[in-house]
Amino acid sequence: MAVKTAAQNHAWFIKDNKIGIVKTSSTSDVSVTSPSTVDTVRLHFIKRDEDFISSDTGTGIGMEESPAIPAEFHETLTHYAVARGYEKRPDMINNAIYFRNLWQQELNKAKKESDINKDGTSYFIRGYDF
Amino acid sequence: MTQAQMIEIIRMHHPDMGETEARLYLNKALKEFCRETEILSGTTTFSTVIDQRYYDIDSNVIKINRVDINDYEISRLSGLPEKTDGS
Repeated sequence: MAVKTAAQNHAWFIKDNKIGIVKTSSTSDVSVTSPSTVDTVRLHFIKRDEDFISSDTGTGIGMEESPAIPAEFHETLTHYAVARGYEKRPDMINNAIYFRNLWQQELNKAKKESDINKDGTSYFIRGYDF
Repeated sequence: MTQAQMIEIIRMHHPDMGETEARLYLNKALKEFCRETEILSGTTTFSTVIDQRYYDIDSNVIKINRVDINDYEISRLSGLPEKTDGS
């Protein structure tokens, strides 16, 4: 119980792209102070994938590597690129609209999928603008 | 699907598009996809340092959902600390 109480006397916040960890205090003249002990912090986060890069060495997704997003959405990324290519050609604007719609549909499908836990139930509900 | 296969598909539609341009669009698509769907999650651990308040966050992190100290969830501070501490 002491470990739990000591841990829960802390709080976190974000400032200047850094995470701040503070100890809450009811006795000090300020409500929070910097940590006074060495503790293990675990962050649970949403992240973006690495960038595509031109080689297979270095940090990023190489030519023969795949992104970490689910495989069913790999082709979705090409819809965006194909649409951008057609957008540069006024005579092919209908193709651009078609691939833009395809991209948006798959994006919406992925948003829904990310809200569903592996047992098929919603893990938590997030609001989106579809 | 590998990056090479994706670029091949794009070039079936746009044979004149260079590999660099195709990769630029794929990167924009991947960033937007991850940001909009929040489909990739992860965890990382680090140790606090006595009297150090601020710690770096990986540049690929979009949003922090939860923070634990010694395996127990801690709450998010509403607003910023009243006393600035640059450490």
